[in-house]
Amino acid sequence: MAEQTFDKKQLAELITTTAGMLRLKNVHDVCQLTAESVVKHSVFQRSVVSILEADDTFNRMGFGGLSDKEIEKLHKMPRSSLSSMEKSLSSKFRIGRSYYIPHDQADIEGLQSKRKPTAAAKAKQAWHPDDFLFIPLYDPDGKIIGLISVDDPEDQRRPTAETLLPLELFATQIAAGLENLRNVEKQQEMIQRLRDQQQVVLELSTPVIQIWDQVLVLPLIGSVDSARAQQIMENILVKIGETGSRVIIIDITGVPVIDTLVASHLIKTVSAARLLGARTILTGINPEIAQTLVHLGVNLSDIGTKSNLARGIASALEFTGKAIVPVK
Amino acid sequence: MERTRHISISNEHDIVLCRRSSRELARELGFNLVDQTRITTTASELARNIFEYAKKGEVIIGVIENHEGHLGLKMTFIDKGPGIDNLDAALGEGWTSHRGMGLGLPGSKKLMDEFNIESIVGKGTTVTVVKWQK
Amino acid sequence: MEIRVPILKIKNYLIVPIQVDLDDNAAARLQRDILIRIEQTGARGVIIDISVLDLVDSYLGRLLGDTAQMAELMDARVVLTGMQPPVALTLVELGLRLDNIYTALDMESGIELLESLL
Repeated sequence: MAEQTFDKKQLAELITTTAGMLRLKNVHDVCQLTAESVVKHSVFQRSVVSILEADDTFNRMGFGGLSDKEIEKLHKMPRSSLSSMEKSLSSKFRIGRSYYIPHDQADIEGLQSKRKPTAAAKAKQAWHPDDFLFIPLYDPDGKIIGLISVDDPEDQRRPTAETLLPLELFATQIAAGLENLRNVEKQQEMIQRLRDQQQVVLELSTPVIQIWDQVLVLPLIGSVDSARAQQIMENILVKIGETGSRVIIIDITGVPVIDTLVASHLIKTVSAARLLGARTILTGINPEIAQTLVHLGVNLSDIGTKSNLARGIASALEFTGKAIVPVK
Repeated sequence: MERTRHISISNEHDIVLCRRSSRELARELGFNLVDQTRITTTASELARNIFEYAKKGEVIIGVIENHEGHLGLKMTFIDKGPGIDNLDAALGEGWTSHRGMGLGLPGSKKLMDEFNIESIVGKGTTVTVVKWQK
Repeated sequence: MEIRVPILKIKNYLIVPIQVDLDDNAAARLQRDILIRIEQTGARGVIIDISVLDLVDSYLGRLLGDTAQMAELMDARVVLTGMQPPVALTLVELGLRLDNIYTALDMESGIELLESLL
């Protein structure tokens, strides 16, 4: 029998595949393309690529050379767990960096081949349909992050370290790519979560309160940056629309300073509120903010100002034809 | 009574010195109250321009006489600042917008009898004004 | 030596008599002091008396107008009193209309005006 060496063409083709694959944006697509490449460029005609999830089970994500029915069947099967896999990760099964478990020593659910063993297969170096071969994918710390399982070699022979080389190199590339992708995905998840949290905080800190029939009050506390100012503007206008309020009191007693960007947001809010038929009363302006607003050329005719919230409310009530009178 | 005063401009207080100096000389020359005010206000505006745009410069306030023997008060404002690149715009009324900024040059021109300005970008500016006795 | 213009408080009003020729820094300080005093006292009216000033140039004129607007944002009204006729004429000739500030002939009429406004 001719000595089996690794197939250089195979290697070249697999490596070329990884180049394109690493441009894919999600783990699922990478697994799928991996499985398909394995089937296309190696002797194995069936492949399943699985990723180890946080709960230590393998999620089958890529399928090559399987019919839809077989894929469906696999989906229905329970996932293999890391602990059950570990039994197979013993050195007696190791070839190179892969693990080959002959059918008579396997006790894991595997892939079921449709092909009947051929005559050649009956020879000692034959591959049996129930043989199991998989290549683990490792992260830089040496932890398993997934598996490439393969089955049904064209030549129906058992693998050797040499023949598996291209596939193993391929697996190493894929593992690196997957690890990168997962990091990116994790990062994006974190960023999105932070953004969602920020959004909640923004909304909580700019509550527009309806204190009377047509009067809204927005007490601002703390520093206001451009993002918050934007949120405030939207909240106010929505609330005016919802309640049909004719007066909105914005109390900035608790705001020490505003920059010109925020000041112009405020001025825009006043103009927009006016378009919705509401008058704005600003209360609690301190000297610094008074100077900023005048230097910006604020048009005072759009805004009413009162020194404190109490006066602002009294003015607002008066404006809407109401008054607070002592109870006799 | 021929007196020429030189005032160096390098800080805000020097603007006040220009006001005082021009007021004294205008009073001595017998200008009426309104003209005195016009003169000192002009001195304040143009001295401030020096300070604001060039950071330092010189003001010369003195008496002059014309060929008919009339006396007048002449003030010259010299700086080596950035110069004005669009004189027409600087002298035009369009400048006097939004809260009254940039009124110094066109205002002074209106308050005084004679007004002359020379400015070279990168070299500096010289403004000369005269108010004649009536 | 820093010139500091005194700010006096009478009832609900502040009285600011400007009795020296202010340089630009002193004028800016005065604006700040007035606004801070308004905040501290909750005063609703301010009289700025310039009857001693024989000169108001565009800088001071603008500053006074701004101060009136800033004070209004803080719910206080400013009345400028005692402007000398030559000063008024010169300001107008300069092109500064100062229509963003109330004016009165003297302090007494200034206070009357404040009372009618508030």
